[in-house]
Amino acid sequence: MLSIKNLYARVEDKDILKGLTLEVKPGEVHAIMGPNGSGKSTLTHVLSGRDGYEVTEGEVTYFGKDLLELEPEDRAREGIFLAFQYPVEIPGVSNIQFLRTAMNSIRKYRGEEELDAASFLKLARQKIGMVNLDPAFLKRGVNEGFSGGEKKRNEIMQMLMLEPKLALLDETDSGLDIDALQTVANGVNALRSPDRAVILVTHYQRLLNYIVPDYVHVLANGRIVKSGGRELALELEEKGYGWLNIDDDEKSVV
Amino acid sequence: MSTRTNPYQEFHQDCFNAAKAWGEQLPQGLHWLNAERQLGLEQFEQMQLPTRKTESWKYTPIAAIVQGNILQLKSAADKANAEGIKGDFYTVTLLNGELQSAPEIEDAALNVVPFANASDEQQNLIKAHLNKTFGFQDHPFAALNASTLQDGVLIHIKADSKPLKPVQIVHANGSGDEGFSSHNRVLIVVERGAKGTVLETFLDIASKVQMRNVISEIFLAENSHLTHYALNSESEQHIHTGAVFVEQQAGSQFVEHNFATGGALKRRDIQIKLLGPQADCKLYGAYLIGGQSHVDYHTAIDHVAPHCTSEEVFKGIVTDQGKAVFNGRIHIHRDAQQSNANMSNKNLLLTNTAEVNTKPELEIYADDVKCAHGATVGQLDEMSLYYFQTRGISKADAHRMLSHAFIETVLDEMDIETVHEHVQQSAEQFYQHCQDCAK
Repeated sequence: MLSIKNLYARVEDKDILKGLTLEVKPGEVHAIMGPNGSGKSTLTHVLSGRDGYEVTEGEVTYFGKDLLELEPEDRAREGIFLAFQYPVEIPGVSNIQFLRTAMNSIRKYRGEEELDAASFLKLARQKIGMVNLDPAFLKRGVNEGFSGGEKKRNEIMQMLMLEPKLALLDETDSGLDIDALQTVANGVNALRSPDRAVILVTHYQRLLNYIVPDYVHVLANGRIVKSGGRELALELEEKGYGWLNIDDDEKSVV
Repeated sequence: MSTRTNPYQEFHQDCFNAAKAWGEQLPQGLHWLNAERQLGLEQFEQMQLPTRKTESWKYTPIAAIVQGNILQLKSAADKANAEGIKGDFYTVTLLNGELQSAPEIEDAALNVVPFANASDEQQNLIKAHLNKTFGFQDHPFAALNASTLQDGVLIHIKADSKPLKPVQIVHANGSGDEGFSSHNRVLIVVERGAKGTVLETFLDIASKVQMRNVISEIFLAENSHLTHYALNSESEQHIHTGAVFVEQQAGSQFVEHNFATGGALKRRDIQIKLLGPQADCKLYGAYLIGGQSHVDYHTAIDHVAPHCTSEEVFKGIVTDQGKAVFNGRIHIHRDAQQSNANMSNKNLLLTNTAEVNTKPELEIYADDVKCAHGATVGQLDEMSLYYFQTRGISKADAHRMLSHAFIETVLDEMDIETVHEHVQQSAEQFYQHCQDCAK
């Protein structure tokens, strides 16, 4: 599904990713862990096509296509979804308006009929219930005045609506209490299927208690320095990053 | 320095001559109206037209008007070139400044009459209020308007009553007319405890150069309430100079909605005097400027009496080679204790070639007041655009939706649904234009 080979990327003249290689197949859940500044968030933004994130070397193919050639909106239409670490507040555009435009843009791209207002609303109400948000949130400005946890749940709700093939979750667990964490995890698990994949970027092991990954990778200094199964996350929790011989200055606190 | 006559002096002289000739060929009308016109003419002759060095005209050079060749004045043509907004209104059309047809309004709360047809009582009302709200020296185009005064329309809302419908004044010119100016006059008197709504719409479709110079004087007696709309959607080459002068007595409430798109040059002055305690005004404005258009809003709110409140929000989007000027002044007089004044002007600049000059000014001479003002000029937020894109929404659609979100907070204050829809449609066309440019 996704094949990243020897990827180098820079942001504002600073090299962040330095030869990252990763292979993701349908049905898999990959967790990417690592100290602050190791390039975890950069990876997600490079994959979703943010301006200013310049790829200097390497390649990324997605279902055989050169992903880096696509505009951000076309990547989304091809089934990539990024759940933001810091979801953006858009006063004046309601959640429902935003989602409906998103959904219909994607459907149009795929040659599908646009969803009428009633069916859309029904679907939105169903999905927002799955993340335990009041349906009143649909009418509010996108993330406007939402608490940190509400914003993250809203991201998951959007993901459930858009049903991506590849979901990128950028520290979606940070700042969540245990209830919200479970809600978010339930949302992600609901989406898991043999033809979908998830890349979870996280600081903490605790999310992985709820979303059990197939693979865990340690990203340090722009490259994946160690990969393993679920047990690697537990080992990291126990030992920190020090035993991997990487800069441990800002190792995470569980 | 050159000794040649400068273009401003020349233009001033030409304007004066045109106004004088205009007055001389008019049929003998009401004696007092002729006297007012004569007074205006004298004032206009003595004044100095603003130049680029005049602070209040710094960013809006009247050279553009000078070059417009709009000195020819004209009386009513046979056919109007624009219709007003459709809706449940009493609609009257001012064609080249003259009331087109005597409106058949049967509403006990309301009189709408041309000055020329006013009853004795109404004439007294006009005489008591006409040209009373502004200083000629500060408003050269108001002075020019006064010097060509031929007729106008009086809207009189009677005490403790409320008209059944809003009044819409459509400012139109004759179809096919070009290279001329019209000088329109509106007088609105809202008696004690009355409540009403007046729309002024400027909706030309002509492509020829025209100038319209409009003055609206508005008087709100104690505890009265007026909502006033000034909707400017003129064609590309149109020049508009206009002023709204408002005097508010104690406990009165005035709400004004401004909306502007298009036009070669628009200059609007809005001056509000809060003369009695607990008078309240709310001023909203949205301008959407593209192409080569230029818009200039100069607002001045005078807190003369204590315990008054004012709220002012102007927002604009400027693209292409468009130019916008906003100057908002709040003047808190010495006795105006417990004043509460808020003013904000926010702008989105979509291209490098677009320009915004914004200047909020506060002059405060009382010590127990609450005042806040702010002005911003920015671009659409990159992070927001990216957020839209990651959800599959095109950059162009994201532009349109974010522009809409920016302006809608102002348009949403409009309380007449048909008007709100009308301006939203104009706005959508503008966003579409911006979106095409962004591609």
